[in-house]
Amino acid sequence: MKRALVVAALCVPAGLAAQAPPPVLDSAAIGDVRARALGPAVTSGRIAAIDGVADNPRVLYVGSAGGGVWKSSNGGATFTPIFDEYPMSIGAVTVDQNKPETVWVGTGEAWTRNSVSIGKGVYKSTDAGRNWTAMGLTDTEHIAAIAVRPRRSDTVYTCAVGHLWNSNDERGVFKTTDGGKTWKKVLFVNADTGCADIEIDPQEPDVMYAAMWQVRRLPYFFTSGGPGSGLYKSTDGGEHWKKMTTGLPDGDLGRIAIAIAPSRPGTLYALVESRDTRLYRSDDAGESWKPTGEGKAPLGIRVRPFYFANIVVDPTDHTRLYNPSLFLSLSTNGGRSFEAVSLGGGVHGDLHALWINPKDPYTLVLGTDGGVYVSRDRGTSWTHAATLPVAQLYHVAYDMQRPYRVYAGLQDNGSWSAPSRAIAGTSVRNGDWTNIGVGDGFNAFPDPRDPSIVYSEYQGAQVRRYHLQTGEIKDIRPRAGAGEPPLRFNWNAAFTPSALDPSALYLGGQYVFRSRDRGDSWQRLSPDLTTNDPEKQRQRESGGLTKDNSTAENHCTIVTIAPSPLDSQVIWAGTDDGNVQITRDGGKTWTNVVANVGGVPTHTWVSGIEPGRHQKGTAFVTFDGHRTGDMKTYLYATDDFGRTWRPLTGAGLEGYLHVVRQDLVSPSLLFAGSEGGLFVSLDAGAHWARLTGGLPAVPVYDMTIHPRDHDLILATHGRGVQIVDDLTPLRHMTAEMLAKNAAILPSRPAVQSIPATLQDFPGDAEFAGANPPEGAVITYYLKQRHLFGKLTLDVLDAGGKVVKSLPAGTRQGINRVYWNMRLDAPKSAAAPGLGARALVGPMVAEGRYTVRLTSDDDVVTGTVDLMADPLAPHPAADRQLRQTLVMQLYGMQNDLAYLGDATASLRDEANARGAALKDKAAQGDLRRALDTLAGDADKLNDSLVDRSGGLLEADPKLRERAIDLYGAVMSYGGRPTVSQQDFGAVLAGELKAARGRFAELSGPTLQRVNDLLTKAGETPIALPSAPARPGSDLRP
Amino acid sequence: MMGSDTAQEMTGPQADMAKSQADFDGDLVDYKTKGTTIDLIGQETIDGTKVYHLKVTRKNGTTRELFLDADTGIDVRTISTMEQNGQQATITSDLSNYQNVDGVMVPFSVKQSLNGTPIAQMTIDKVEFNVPIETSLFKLKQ
Repeated sequence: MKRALVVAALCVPAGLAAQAPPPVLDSAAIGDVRARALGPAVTSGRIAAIDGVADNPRVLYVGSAGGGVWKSSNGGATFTPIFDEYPMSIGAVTVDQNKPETVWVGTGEAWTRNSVSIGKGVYKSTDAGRNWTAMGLTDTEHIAAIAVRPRRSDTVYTCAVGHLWNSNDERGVFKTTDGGKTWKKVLFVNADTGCADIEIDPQEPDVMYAAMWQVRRLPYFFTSGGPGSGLYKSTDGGEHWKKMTTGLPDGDLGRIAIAIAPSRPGTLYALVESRDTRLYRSDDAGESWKPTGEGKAPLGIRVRPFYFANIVVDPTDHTRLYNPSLFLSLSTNGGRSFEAVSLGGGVHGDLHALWINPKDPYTLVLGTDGGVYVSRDRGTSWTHAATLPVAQLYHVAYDMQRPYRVYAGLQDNGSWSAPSRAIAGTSVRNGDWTNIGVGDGFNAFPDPRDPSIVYSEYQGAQVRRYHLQTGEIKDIRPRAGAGEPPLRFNWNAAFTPSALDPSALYLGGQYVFRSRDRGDSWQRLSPDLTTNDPEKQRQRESGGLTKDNSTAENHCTIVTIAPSPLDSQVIWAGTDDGNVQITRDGGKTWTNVVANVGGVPTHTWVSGIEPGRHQKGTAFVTFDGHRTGDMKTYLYATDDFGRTWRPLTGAGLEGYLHVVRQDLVSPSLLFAGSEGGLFVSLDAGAHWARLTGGLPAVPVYDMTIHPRDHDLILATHGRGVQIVDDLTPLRHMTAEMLAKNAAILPSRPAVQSIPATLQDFPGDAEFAGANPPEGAVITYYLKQRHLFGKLTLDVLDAGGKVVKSLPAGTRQGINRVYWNMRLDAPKSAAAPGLGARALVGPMVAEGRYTVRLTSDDDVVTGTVDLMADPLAPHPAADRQLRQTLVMQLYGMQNDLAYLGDATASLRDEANARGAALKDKAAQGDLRRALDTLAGDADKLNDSLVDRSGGLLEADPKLRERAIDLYGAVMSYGGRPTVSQQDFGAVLAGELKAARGRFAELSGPTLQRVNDLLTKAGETPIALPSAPARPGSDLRP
Repeated sequence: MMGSDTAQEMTGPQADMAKSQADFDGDLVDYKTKGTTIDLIGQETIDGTKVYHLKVTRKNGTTRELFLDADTGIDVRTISTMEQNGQQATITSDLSNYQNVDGVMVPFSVKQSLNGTPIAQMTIDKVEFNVPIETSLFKLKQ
């Protein structure tokens, strides 16, 4: 006995060691649990760079600030994303005009506003954007320009700003002579100065110019300009550089934009940020410079150079200059004066890119904070490219309508709302979006008690209450009282409703405010919860050479407020200067628990707090240190109100984090939004996998889970609203399940809605946000891709009968197969007319169905539930009446298909036999019998089927009238009209009569013919066999 | 052409495509004799499945990409590009449900997408080899 125990004890570790490690979730296993892009594209997002192909100007490449690279092959009518596997923030896009199939992308935008993202170096495609290769310079983070040497494709220059938030050495001008395999740093000033612009002389490509820019951002301050900045020239292909100073201002310079006049390369322009920012012109290839114009420079030249420094010279006229800036302005006299270009048609302000077709300078392509615009008349009128869903969202919310609506705040594009799915048509279109707020949009959400009221917010807590019916907007921002210190609000201030108290709104300044009267009055619910460090409150001095106080550097403020959904007394607040505060008594006392966290540098921005959804002592906190150059991933959880914390940064989680959410049903299912995409954990943060289906590695700033529909709704900062439909399968994924070869996973019940029709023809130049796929979702998991042998997916009714067989998905991980919940279309008698309404089968009855996945060596089963549309008001009895009539008409068509085809067959056979008779006189009786059979069959066939010839020659017969009624009854979910019911009876009577005639025809008449045929030694005419399809006797 | 039972003349890129599809053995069999070159692009994954990515360049210059399952060597995916209405069209075919027919592995399921949008799902019930076909089927009607 003892001995046996010892053996057993020894065996256990050996057995464990032999086992494979437990399977963990990876991106492939998440599989078809995909995000769908909802938009908006009616208002788009910031465009950082544009280039076109000179020899084929239909081809355009657009680099967006946060949504990747998009290509148009039709001059801007439609765009396709071509860079979705790579960093989404784009600084430069350059077509090699020597070989336009070669395209270079510099990642990491260089319009360095507070919310700018980062890149990972240079990428190159040699097949016009289909495949990409990383070409290094991965630590540059921000790339302003890439220039290809004319007529020598392998020589390329990268102009890298470098790190924005801290010092680094990989910045300046880099040169390659081997197509990007190796780079040499050819111009470097210091670890705080990078390159902001580069231009190569198109005629003498050894001559080139570079703008060096010293810039630094901090969480609470930024400085454009310093002794590192300057304008440089090289005359030996970038090997050596000299600083150009003649005629340029003394003292520190800031951001500089350079433009060579393509038609006269000795003439250059430079927009130079200094204490007196203005435009300079050189007519001696940069050797000396003169300011253009007198007095103060025009606003477009001097406003926000860090964000707008840009000059574009007309390709054919060296005196015609465009200045894309706050607005577009034009000089026709070499920069002496500028006038605003008429931006007809409502073009978005804040311009960052302008491409002029070199072969047709009347064609301009403009990149703005609101997307791309194309002008064909040199800027007098513009077309908005309404197909670019690159909006940069801060926050997203939902309501409880059916379908639910989403509410989102957009960087520089206000706040918008849209249905999560369109009722008519198959997509959420631009026209489905409603503007509900202005400015830079942040938090926007509906009043939980009144759907006509929406709250929105723009920069610095400009909170508004908007009445959807009247359009009236009330400014509900709290203001400091007499003798009180000024209120401080972040650029992106916390503003949220309560999960438990529908009357409560919370707003974060340096205090937590609460309103219980829709913002008409606010109570301070806390003392100053920040560090209130005066050093970090100098935003009025921020900007460097050009003061820039837009609230974007406001600091020592509350950026997240998280009221517990389980206890109204528990509220969490996080600040931009690193405090994690909690009250457990409704705001009477607050405790800063950040010191308990450990492992996070002090004063690190608290980007998100998620209150526990299952235990009130639980909370999850994300910290984001990127504004000090700390790109690490910080995620912690507590179960004891913040006394102790544990890190949840298990394997697989990457990037600095903005948000974390705990699932509403499964406590161990977590979602984290990082600068590089959406991550999922099934095991409470021990392992993470990026959700890659439909979603590039775009920044995820916010997310929320719809409590009724179980969707995960994402606010992406570059790809608008994204919805991951139905989290149910993820809630049931476990390590045990991942180890199985195959398993069916549950999905939410499928709604049997009747699709609405939509008659309009918008063309292609409009974005379509996908509706969730129609039908019931059958979800299953495959451990490996299925390659060999059968794999069938069947749906069975309660009686075990297969009602539908579907093509099975074969991918590794979760597969989703969509079943339209319909039987196969009815069979239809051959006729010239299509009978379009009969091309779909009837919807099956609501209820539970079994799903069965069968491979050569495995069978797994599960269920799928179908439910009536909760939006539709039809009582069960009415639905049943409809279903009965639909099924009768369905069966009727199957009967008619047989009758139609059988009568035609008998007629044709009788005619053929008749024509084959040799001795007519001798065969008189048979001949007559055959003629009678053919004639009767033809007459009956003519009464069943419209033989008149199709589309516009309709002469509806029984078949066509039955199809029409079938379609009419099926298109409405409730009680058929009296007329429809009566007509159904009429058709049933006619069918009965037709069956009677057919019985006569196929019985005695055919028998007489066959007797005579047999007598004559011929084979009898066979009656076509009846099909296996259900006929009109069928009852549901 | 597809959907028609009478012979019609096929020209241009469609004819080229049909000709290359007529190479029943596939691009890899006897590729040298056929004058085809094959480049290994690299080892990649398709939805988590390890594959070898090959680029096939035929004698006539047309190309095709093949993705072979790293464990078994069977075709998981093929990508062909063709000109359609002056635009590049990319057709991706995902192959599965292989069954052994007379010693040849045949995919009984083919899913096709055009420029990333699903266009066809083909499920094959039966495959027969070397079934005689009437030559008259290929005769053009005057």
